[in-house]
Parts: sequence; C-alpha cells; structure tokens
Amino acid sequence: MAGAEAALQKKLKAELERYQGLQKELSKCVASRQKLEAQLTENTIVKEELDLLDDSNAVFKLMGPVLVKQDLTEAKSTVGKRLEYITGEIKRCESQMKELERRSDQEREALAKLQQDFQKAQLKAAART
Amino acid sequence: MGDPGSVQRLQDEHTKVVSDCRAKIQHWEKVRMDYSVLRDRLSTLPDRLHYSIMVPMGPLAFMPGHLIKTNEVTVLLGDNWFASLSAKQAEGIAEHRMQHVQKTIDDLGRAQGSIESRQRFTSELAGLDKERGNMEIREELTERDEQRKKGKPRVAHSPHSGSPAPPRETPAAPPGPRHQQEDAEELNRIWARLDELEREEEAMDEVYRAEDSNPADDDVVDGDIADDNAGGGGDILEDSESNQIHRHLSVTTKSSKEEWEEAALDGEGLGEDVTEWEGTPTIRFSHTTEPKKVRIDTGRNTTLKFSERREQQQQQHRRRRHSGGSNGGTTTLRSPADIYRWFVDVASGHRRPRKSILKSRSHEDGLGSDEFSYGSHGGSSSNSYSGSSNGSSSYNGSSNGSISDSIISAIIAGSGGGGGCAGDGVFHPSEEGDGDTAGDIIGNIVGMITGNNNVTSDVTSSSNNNNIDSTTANSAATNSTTNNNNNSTCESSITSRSPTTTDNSSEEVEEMSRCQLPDAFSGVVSERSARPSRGAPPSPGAPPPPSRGAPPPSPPPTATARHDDGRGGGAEAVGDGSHSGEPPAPPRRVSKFKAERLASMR
Repeated sequence: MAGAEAALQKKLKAELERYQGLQKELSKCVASRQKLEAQLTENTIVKEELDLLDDSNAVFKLMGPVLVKQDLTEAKSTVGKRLEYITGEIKRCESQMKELERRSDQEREALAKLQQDFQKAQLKAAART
Repeated sequence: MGDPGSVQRLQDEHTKVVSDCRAKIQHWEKVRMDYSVLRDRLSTLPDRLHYSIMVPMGPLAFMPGHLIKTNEVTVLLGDNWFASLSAKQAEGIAEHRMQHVQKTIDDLGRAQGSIESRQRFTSELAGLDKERGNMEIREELTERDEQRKKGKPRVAHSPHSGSPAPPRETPAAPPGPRHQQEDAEELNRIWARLDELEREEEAMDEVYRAEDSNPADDDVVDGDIADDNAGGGGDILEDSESNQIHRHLSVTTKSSKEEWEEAALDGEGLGEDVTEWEGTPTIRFSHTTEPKKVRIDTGRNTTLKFSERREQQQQQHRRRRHSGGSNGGTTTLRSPADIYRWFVDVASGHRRPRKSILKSRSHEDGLGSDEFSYGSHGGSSSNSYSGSSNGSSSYNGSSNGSISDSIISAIIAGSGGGGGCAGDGVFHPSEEGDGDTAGDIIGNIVGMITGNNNVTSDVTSSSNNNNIDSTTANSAATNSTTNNNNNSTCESSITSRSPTTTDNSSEEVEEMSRCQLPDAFSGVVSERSARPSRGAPPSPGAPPPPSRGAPPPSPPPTATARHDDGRGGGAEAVGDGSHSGEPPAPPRRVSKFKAERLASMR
C-alpha cells in the first residue's frame, strides 16, 4: 500500500506541475494580450493624429537614436498595417488563452480527483496504522 | 449578512478598489494638468521669435540658451512616431490628448463612485444588522424535527392523491424550497377540485332547502374550509343534512382528510399552517354547522337546531351498522354533526340536542365543560348508555363499584362516546382522528376533573348525591352553560356542595381518576395510544399504555396534557395535578380545536 501511495503522490506531483505550467502559459498569454491592447490604443491615436496632419508637416520615426523622416502617406499606411497586425495578434492570443484555460480546467479536475484519491489513501493508511 | 468575516472581506475589497481608482484618477489629473500647461505654453510660444532660456543639460545642469524656432514643434504621436507640427497644430494635438485624458478621468470617477456606493451599501447593511440586532435566523432540520412531523405525511399539494405526498414541513422547520412548478400544478388541481365540490355543495344546498323550512343557521363559529376541500362521494352523509363542509370533508379523499387532520391538529400553527399550505386562499375551519332544522328550545334560552328525522336516520343507520352490543369504545362519528348528537343531554330520558358545542360554553372546554361536567353527565349518561343499545354498557359494567366509579365510568362513557354522545356510545377511534378525539376528550375530561375546580366540584357533588335527577337537571343546566360556570349551573341543580370544597373534591376526583381512569380508559386510551397521535411525539403515547397498569397520574396528565397541547406533548399542563388557572384555558382552546378537528376529520 505504501507503494500505491507513493505512486499516487508522484502522479499528484506530476499533475500539479503540469497544471502549474499551464497556468504560467496562461498568465503569459494574458500579459501579452494586455501589451497588445496598449499598442492598439496607441496606434489608433497615432492614426488619428496622422489623419489630422497634412503634407506640410514632417513625420519622423524613431529608430533607435535616429529620427528618420517619413512620408506622411507612408507613415499612415505603416501605422495602419501595424494596427491590423496588432488586432490579429490579439485575436490569436485570445484563442490561445481560451485553449489554455480549457486545458488548465481539465488539469484542475484531474488534480482534484487525484487529491481525493490521495487523501483516501492517506486515511486508509492512517486507519491501518 | 450572516458572515461577518465575509462582510469584512467585501469591505476590504471595496476599499482597495476605491483607493485604486482614486490613485488612477490622481495620475490622470496630473497628466491633464500637464497637458493644459503645455497647451498654454504652446499658445504663447509663437509670440516671440526666440526666447532666452536656461537649457537643461542632463539632469543636474542648466545652461543659458535660446529657444529659436518657436513655431516648430516635434510631437510624439505614439509608438515611436513623430511629427513636426506648428505650434498651433501641436496645440490642437495637445487639446486632443487632453480630451482623451479627461475621458479616462471621467470613467475612473464613475467607477470609483459606483464602488463607493456599493461599499456604502455594504457598510450600511452591516451596520443595520448590528443596530437592530437583525440576525439571520436559521434553523436546521434536525432529526427531532423530522419526528415532529405528523405521523402521516401531509399531502401538501394534491387533494386527490391517495399516496402520501412528500411530507410538509411543520412550521417549526424552516420552509424548504418547494418546487414551484409542482406547487403550481397541484394548486391548479386543487382549485379544480374545489370548484367541483363547490358545485356539489350548491346542489346539496338546494336539496336541503327543499327539505326544510327553516333556513340553515349556524350558531357555530363558522369558517369555510377553504372551499370544501373534500372530494365527492365518500362515506358520509347519506343523511344529506349537515354541514356541507363537513360532508365534504368526510367525503374527502384520504389524503385531503389527512391534510385536514393535519391542519386541524396543528394546535399552534393552526391557521398559519393552513394558510401556509394553501398559499393564497385562506383556510378556515368550520365547526359543524348545525343542520338547518327544527329549532328546539333546550330550556335555557337557547335553541338548538335539531332534526329529529335526521337523528332517527342516523340512529337507524348506526344500529344497522353497529348492530347490538357496545363496541367497546367505538363510536361512529361520521360527521361533525354527529358530535352534536353526542353532546346531547339526557333530559328525562329523552335525548335533547345541545346547542352548538362551541357556543355552549364559552369556551372553556368546548367539548369539555358541560358534557364533561361529568358529574352531570355521569348519571345521565350512564343511564342513557345503559338505556341505549350500544356503547357504554361495557363501561357501566366495568365500574359501578362506587360513586367515583360511576362517575368515572360515566365520564369514560361520555368520553368514549367521543365527547359524550349520549345516544350511541359507538365510538370508532379507528376513524381518523376519532381515537385522538376521544382520547383528547378524555383528556379534556380528566383535565376538567383535575384542573377545573368548578367541574370537580360538580363532579364530586353530583357523585355524592348520586342523584340522577340532579344530574339530569344538571345536564339540562349544563346544556346552556356558557363556560366553566358549571359551578353555577350545577349548583343550581345540585345541592350543597360548595365551591370551597373543590380542593378536596378535586383531589378526590383526581384520586378517583387516577384509580379509575386507567381501567376505564383502557379501551379508549389504548386506541389512542395505538394510533400515532398526530404530531404528538412518541413520548405521550408511551405513558398511556403503562398507565393502564400504573396508578401514577400519568394518564390524566398525559391525556390532559395531550389535550391541552391540543396534540400531545407537554404533560405539564395538568400533570402536576394542580388546579391552576391554566388548565381551563388550554382545554378550552384545545377542545375547540378538537371540535374543529372533528369537523375537519369527516
């Protein structure tokens, strides 16, 4: 019976680790999603501002320590593309998050069950001893 | 707000959110302030071609310098994008951003406000509870509660289902969740049934009216059982008289009978139970409405409606059914009206119907006082019983050793009559609740004996006189008595005995009862104890059987107690054998209930 208990324990540990891993991934996904959201808002603002400008203004892009002059239209298109990219990223991240959540739920259930078994085994052991 | 810990936590959370909001708002306010300053600066910047300023070099140094191109502003658009704009355009952008910031601030403010209000509400609620001492009342269903439920599961919903329905909770138990749908369905069924019955009732009404000249008169406390919950048909009343309600009740299916019994039996929660059960419609219990028949002057400013014909019918019916001999304590109470028949007094050998049981004595002992002024009844009833074909002959035979014996036997007989039906003495305790009724009546009797000075005085006095005439007169007197003025009435008829002797007499009676009752009661009490007294915990049931052999005051107190409680339980009321003022009150109340129960029982 000790062997069974030990096996249970090992299984429990393994499950727990897996669950923790899933949780980490989930949190990572969430963080990236937040970042993307911020970028999205920012780029939206930039787009708005760029729309307000006309050709008389020079538009620069900061690349490292260098301010590089950009064309207004170019800038606008670039920003637009970026915006689309960001929204796509967000969508992907969302789906990933869902998947992770589902898996983590499954893991949680398995974990709970294992815990129960483990406790039962412990009780039995206690009763025996 | 039952859990202070959770409340506290909730409040903590609230506080946290509120402080968060506040911090954010502060931050954004600063930003907005910055932007507004910037805007101002931008607006004034192009005023001059160049400004001499102290230029910051690094974090720690300044250097004098000039601000030259005052109209060109490079603005960070976001995401590493810059644009060089004129001052005015920059100003526009700044304005734009400021609006954005303002919007954020507003959102945060609203969020904070809502959180704060929630917090306030929570604290108010908690405070309220503490102030007013509001407490969450929770009563867990315990085993004892389970036991306390009536012996038969009450049919909560359907009056028709023969099978026991899920037991209803007593008022003591917390109302559990009922399945709403279930309720609704059953309620609908009940309503449909009620409508049916109402129609039947009306039909019967017509019949009654056709039969008799006198209009129905209820000198009884009238309640309508919420619409004739009884099913049609059934055993009652081929004598079509009586209380339609009672007829209906008697006719009722078993389950509804149970219901009614249950409801009727419930002493304390009587009305509440019923209404609780019924939901909207009110259930009131009605006593037997007197058969609307001949008015008979019972000689004491009262008139009793009594139908000779019905009496005859019933007697024949009974004799047919219970041919010969006494039934050893079984009586047929088929309808509440039968009670009236029992409660008749024997005046000169002729059975005279009494006034409505309940009204007769204002209420001390509904069933009890007059009839159960046993002394009066004793002689008469014994006479009548011996005269009658059924019933108490057994009792008579059993006792008769002494005055006390006769009294007790009479009492028993009276009680065995299920409340003193002088005529029949056929008593079926097996009928629903009849046993209880009898037992209760007996209890009442005993209570009367032991508890009620007046009555005991009557009893003893009458017993001492052993005067049938006096008793009969007494019965006549008791017919009309209002309440425990048995004293007065009996004294009028009975000689000598003064109320002051009551103590002795009561003791005497108690003694007698103690000695005699067990034997005499045996039939009835056994019946009673055999049936699980509705709603009565098993304990009261226990005493009666042992009391049979034992002289201890258990039987009277038990029976009385049972009676007193209306259902059983607490043997305290008369158990102490004291003649406190208490017994009169409970018996009366109980007896009324008993009457109701009898009524409902049918």
